[in-house]
Amino acid sequence: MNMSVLLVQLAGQRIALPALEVDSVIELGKITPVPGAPSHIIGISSLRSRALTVIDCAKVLEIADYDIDGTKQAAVLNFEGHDYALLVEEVEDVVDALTDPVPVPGGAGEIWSKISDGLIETQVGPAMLIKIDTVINNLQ
Amino acid sequence: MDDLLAEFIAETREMLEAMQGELVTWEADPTDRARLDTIFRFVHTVKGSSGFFDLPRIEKLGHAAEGALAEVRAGKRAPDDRLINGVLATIDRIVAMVDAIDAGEDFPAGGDEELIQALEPELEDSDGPDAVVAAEQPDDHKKNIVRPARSIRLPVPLLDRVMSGISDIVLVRNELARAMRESDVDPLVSATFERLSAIVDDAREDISRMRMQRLEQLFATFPRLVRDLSAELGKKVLIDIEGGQVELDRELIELLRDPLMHILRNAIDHGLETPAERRAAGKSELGLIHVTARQTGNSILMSITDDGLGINTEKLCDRAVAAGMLTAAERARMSDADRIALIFQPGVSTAENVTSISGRGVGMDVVRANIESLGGNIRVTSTAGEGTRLVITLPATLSIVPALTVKVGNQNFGIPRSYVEEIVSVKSQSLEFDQAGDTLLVTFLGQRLRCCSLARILDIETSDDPQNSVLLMIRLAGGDLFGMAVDEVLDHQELVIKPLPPAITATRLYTGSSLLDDGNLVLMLYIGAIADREGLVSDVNKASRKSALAERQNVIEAETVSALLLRGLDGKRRIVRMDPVSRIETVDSTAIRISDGNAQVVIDGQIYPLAGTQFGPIGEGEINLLIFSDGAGQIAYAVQNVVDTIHIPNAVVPEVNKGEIEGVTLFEGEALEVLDCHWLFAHHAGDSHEKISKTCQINEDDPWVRSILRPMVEAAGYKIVGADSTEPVDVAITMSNQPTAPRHAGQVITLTSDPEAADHKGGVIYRYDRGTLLASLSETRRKAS
Repeated sequence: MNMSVLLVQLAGQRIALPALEVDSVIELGKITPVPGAPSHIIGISSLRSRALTVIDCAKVLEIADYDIDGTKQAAVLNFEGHDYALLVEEVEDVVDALTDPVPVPGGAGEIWSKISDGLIETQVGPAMLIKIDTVINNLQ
Repeated sequence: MDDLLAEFIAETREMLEAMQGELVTWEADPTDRARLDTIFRFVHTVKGSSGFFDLPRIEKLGHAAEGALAEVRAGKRAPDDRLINGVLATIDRIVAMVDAIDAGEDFPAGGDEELIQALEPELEDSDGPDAVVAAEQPDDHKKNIVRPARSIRLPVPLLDRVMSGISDIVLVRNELARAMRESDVDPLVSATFERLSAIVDDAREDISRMRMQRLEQLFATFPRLVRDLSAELGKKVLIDIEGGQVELDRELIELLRDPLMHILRNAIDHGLETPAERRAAGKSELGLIHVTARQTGNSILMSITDDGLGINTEKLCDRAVAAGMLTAAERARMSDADRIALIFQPGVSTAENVTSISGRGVGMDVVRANIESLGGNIRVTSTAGEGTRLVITLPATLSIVPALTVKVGNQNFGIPRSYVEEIVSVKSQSLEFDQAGDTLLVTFLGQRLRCCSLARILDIETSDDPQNSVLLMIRLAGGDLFGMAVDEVLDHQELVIKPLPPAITATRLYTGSSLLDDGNLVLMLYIGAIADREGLVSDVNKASRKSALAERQNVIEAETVSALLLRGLDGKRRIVRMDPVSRIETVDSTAIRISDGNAQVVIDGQIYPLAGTQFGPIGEGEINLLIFSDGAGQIAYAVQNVVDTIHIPNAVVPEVNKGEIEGVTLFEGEALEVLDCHWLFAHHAGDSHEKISKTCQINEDDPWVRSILRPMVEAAGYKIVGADSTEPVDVAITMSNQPTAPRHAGQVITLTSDPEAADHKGGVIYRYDRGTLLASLSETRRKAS
């Protein structure tokens, strides 16, 4: 399968985002909180004159213990006309997926099955391939 | 005026260009209704514009062509060759005339009559249409169409890219400026940077202006239009324009011009009455048209209100039925709002006479098509005899909003400047605050206004002492005024609003975000929705947005009931509905006995429970009493005096706490309390009722049920049983939005908030229809005993 993925780390887990959908990887500047917004939206941040909606991936995946304050790396992408920044713990690399996504043997849990197309193999090891739209809409 | 004329010429040509294909298609298939409508709109628009520019020849031709096409549309005339040729020849001639105007030449006189005649139904001895058409095709008429243009058209996306490019440049410039301030820089470099910076500022200003235009330029043409039209129709009309400083896309302004003109024409021609009619209806001779524009984040809200006849929905339905758009059965099912919306259907008009100004049933369908093509929407509300209000909402992408930036906690927000009436510092000005239940009231310029705190609404912690806060006096589009407390007002800026993703807009707190010059982001507050959520939009203000928001509600609010305006023992004015008032008595204070909070009065040898005494002491001498009757019992109510008989809207703003006050309603600009007679009876006349033996189950989770329904049911002689009770009850009352039906009830009454859904026989009753509800309850009671 010819597909590039962006590998990121989230609370020790390796996760793959389809590289084609990601515009860039940035170090986020100041995040302005949005009172009243859904909890997976941390706030908005600016990238030059663009306003990015910052999404806390860990929150969507319900990964509890991880240090959000130290996290500033984000994958920037445009989804349905709006710019988003997916906040991750660490961005690793862009690599080629060696296999099509396959379901995790024995299942990966309810959240993962909604958010992921399955497990892919890469040169550096297996990773869960994430569906961008479900992350942005927080599973809805 | 020259600018406008040039625009008219350009526009007419543009429309015609777009229509060439339509004309040919229509000629090939004259029964094609969509093509016919397009051509019809063209001649209608041209006729309208030429009337405005005082081009009587074009106007006449347009009118004739329009008349002929209208007959075809109405099915009164077949689109035969003669008519088609006549219409095409007329359009050609209009184009030739427009070209002549553009070239500054005089168009040769004569020839118009023949064309107009050619459009008339065929007479015995008229010339064949071909003859006329041939005579109207001057060989050289096309040679002056093409003229060099002094402007170029640019695709909007390109402008958008340039715009965001310059925004990026400005931000980088600001960043660079900060970096240069912090480090030692060669003076030569900083001087050069200053120059660059100034150029960037100029460029940004120009680029912003490329797309923006003030509405003023459009509004400036209105007074003249109104003057001319009203003079022609023998009406007296005053136009009041507000919001000309609102800026929006030039493109949008151009596209708005025609719809607005159509609406104004309609308002003057059909909406407003003649001075004599207005006098007879008890109105001032001078008809009023109120045009406002307001920017709310990403959208522009325009309203055009007249105080004329209102829309005659019956007549509208008659026309629609006659035109075959509506069956009688459909008509019967339609709500009033849907009926009013019929004016947007092609071919429907309530105008009695077709005049040269409007009234052929085009106009509103064109208007709506135009506005929807801009991504906006248009809504109408109308009250018979009182006027019509049109509200147009338009998106204003990339619009620049003059805004205040305010601080709450440690976060900044933007508020559109147009909402803010005044900024008041709590500390420096002696404001009077009153706490009423959970609501904080502030007295501002003699008005008692509701106050809300932005920190509370957004759930932000603020360490600031309330005494240090600043109060923004916010005026909503509907005229409602309220106070909003913030920690600090920072700045007044022109903000470029960017849209937010759906997950954030769903909060209905923000309309967009904006990047400040220092690179910080601020969220733009959605004042309208916030006010709505906080219940700060008054229900009874007729001109309020509420009617536009919930059009259906309009009907209910417009209903008025007669009531007594009275002065309570504490000197405050209150209102009581007329229905329960049976008479007014005056007694001597010695006839009154008060003990343990209970009061009685003896009138003509009978003891009446007495209410109203908690408001103040009973004086010596004569006391005025109102006697209320609910059919079974009577109670007396002590007042200082009865002020007047008035009319109030039937829907009052309900009070949350159950008690003597049913709610408040607006009278003469003052919020007055309305007495709840049902509660009074439930409380004071318990003894005079028969022994309570029947039970009624209601769900008191709903505040309306708790505060309004419960006392009413109790007053009707029922014992209230909670919703969770499983005991059999005589009657159960459910709300239509709580579909779970109780199982052990002798009879179930369902209350609905939709007056049209009420069917009195099947136990579904409109919630404010007290009469039917009480009748139903007492019937059940009789049957059960």
